[in-house]
Amino acid sequence: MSKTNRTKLLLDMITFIAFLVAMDPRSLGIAVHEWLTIALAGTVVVHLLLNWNWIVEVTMRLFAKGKGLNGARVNYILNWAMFFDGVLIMLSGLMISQAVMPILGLSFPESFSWRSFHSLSTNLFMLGLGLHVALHLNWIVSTAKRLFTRKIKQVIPANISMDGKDVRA
Amino acid sequence: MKILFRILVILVVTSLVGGAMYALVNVAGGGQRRVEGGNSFRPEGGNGIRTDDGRRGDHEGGRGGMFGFGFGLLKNLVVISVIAVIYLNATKWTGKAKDVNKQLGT
Repeated sequence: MSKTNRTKLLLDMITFIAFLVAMDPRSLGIAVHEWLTIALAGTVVVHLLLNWNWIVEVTMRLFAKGKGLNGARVNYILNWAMFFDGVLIMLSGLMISQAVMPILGLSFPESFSWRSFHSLSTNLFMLGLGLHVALHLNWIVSTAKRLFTRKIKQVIPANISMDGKDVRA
Repeated sequence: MKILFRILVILVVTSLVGGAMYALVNVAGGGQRRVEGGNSFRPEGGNGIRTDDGRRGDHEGGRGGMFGFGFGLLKNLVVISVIAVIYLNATKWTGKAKDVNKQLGT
């Protein structure tokens, strides 16, 4: 398995878990929620950089005549929708920030609209994330299998079976 | 250098999209509406009480401790999984429907 695929999977898993944690601000407190989502924005940039070639390739194909997208169209549109939604989450989050922006010395008037946008965009993002995971499920499962079976093989030598018996001839 | 250029592209696109959204919300006038007294809108579980330093007391200190945290995380995970399962089953069914249509020549 390529090093890039391994990095992609590990980064995506960390981002996914961090997103789940960040989605529950009531439990951990607003400060953790805000700083965690700012860190998440950084991991999303790395996610985009790791998938840059795919983004460029599909964008070029969209504008090139005679070249099919082979089902990547839905994925591409969904990714752009998630990007727009992610920007809206960050923007509305910063506008209603109670921990990060005051530290930077900035404050905005409390706004019902930004709060509503924040809740709505977060719920939409969850829907998008479910679809994103579903569209990439084959890649996730196959890469995870390769990653973890290799790890198991490293821990358990090839001449020892999984139930601990020595299988040397 | 290539990576720096790519990061710059991402940041520029993000700024453009964010700027456009900010302008849209403000032009629509929604962003200017203030919440009277800070208590008119309360997110789920928030008490809307301001703390001494002027910040609202919503979410501060958390709620439910580790149990609440685990429950919230699990709930989000279940919601995302359900959406993924529904999508996968829907595409499977539509795929089957297409196959049947092909066999029937419709």
